[in-house]
Amino acid sequence: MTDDLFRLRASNPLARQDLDGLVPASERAELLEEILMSAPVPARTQRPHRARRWVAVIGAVAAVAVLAIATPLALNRDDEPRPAAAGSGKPVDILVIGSDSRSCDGCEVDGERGAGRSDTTILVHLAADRGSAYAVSIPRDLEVSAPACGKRRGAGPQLWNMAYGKGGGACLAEQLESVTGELCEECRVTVDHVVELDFAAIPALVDALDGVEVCLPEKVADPYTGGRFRKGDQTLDGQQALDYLRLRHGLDDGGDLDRITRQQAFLASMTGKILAAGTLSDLAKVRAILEAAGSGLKTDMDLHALAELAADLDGIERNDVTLMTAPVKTDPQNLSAVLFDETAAAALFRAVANDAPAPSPSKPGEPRSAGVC
Amino acid sequence: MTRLADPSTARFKALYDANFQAVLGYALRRVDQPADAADVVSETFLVAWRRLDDAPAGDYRPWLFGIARNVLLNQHRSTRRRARLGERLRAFLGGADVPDPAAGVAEQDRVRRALATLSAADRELLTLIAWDDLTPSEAAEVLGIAAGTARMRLARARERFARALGDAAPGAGHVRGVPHHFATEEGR
Repeated sequence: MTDDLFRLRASNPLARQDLDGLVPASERAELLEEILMSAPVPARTQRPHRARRWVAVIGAVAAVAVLAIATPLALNRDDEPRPAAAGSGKPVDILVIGSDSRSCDGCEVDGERGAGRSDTTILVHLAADRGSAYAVSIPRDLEVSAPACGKRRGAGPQLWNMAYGKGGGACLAEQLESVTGELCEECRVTVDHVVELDFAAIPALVDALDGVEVCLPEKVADPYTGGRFRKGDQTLDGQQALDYLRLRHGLDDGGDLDRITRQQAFLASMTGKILAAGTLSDLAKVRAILEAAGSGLKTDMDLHALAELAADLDGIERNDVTLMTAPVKTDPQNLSAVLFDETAAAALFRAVANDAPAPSPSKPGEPRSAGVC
Repeated sequence: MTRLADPSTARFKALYDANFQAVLGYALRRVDQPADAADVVSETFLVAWRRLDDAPAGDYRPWLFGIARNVLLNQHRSTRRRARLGERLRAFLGGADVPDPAAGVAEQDRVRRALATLSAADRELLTLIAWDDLTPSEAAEVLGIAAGTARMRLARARERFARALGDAAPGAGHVRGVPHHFATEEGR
């Protein structure tokens, strides 16, 4: 019985030398690239905070979309007559994409590299009467069959955000149309416009907002970013905000306080500030904010469409906006992805496509102004 | 450059490069078709990337094999194939010259027949150690059991394996046709 393990070792069907060079470096690198393309989601913190995170992110991106829509209006106010308010009589669907596409030092706010992934996708639906709106976030882990413009090598389902890296915002819009059309023919959503916000624009936005308030339960020094924060409530400037969003170290024994929670808190706080009375109605401020965002904000809307929408949006109060996440369920085959909950998703997108009230709305709470203390 | 500046991406890249081959080997030894190993490898590293914060310090192999093991268990439960990632690796392995585990010499044949008589749990523990080159405590980590338990189970598994090997009549030269007895008292 002494040689049992020896004999078993010798019968290894695939010894180490068989594996040497079996897969060339190029193939290995390709897979690594694909994996890195999908955003890292710290599993421990992801589940409990997911819903809250989405609400915060939706809020922030939707708020910035409002700004994007208002920009040309503000910047061209002297030359362009403001069009008459009130709805144009047609529902409008706008796809708002939060992305991390600029390659620059310190832009990877979510620990991601800067090569174009959509971290956040929100479909904003404005009712024809402009009395209400709803925003539906599409989880980036949603498994879909991508349209040709965004299909990565090979066939089969892929994650929602992969199409963005390949085909950009227009392709993501096409993906939404085809994916909802697969749910049912009358569920097919038509995307009228696309707005893209680059996360890299956040520091400048923060400065233009005169800072964003957060709260830390203890003081922190992060050796990686050089960020230092005192305990308690504080107002962050743009650079501090970036350090804060990138903070991963120095809070190890802070247990429940992690990067994602901080990001949620931050975005919620920023949203609150943008939507706060005074910001949007102060054209000088809007102008400053938007100039700061610069190329970090992109949209396919022409001036006329933007001006019209900005006028329409004036009439929509925050309380008339319903924020929700597309109904999904865990993919039993794949721990790290989700699938549409087909019945509920069909009901939701049917409502979008037919300008009906959203089924079973879930109103979010007020954005927390201070964060995580 | 931005990527390298991010500590978690750099850490994952190092983990990936250092363990790709080990995970590939683990997968290839446990699937019927080499191409299926591509799914296991891509899924394993995808989960590892997403759970990087849970990765233990030190040798990542036991942790990665533990993930791969779950991926395999899930995969075996269904034949539906997920083709999200690793399509290229799948195509590559499908055409690669991967040694066929079934094509063995007589000795290999005997060993594998003896192995086949053991319970799945015995087989798993023995192969983790003999084929994937783990220590008993590392194997325990993969299986999610205590190191002491693993050592105890290993001793018993080795006994049963040695007995099965003895029953398979080594040293008798060529094995011709079907061996007339290799079912042991353990059953299959």
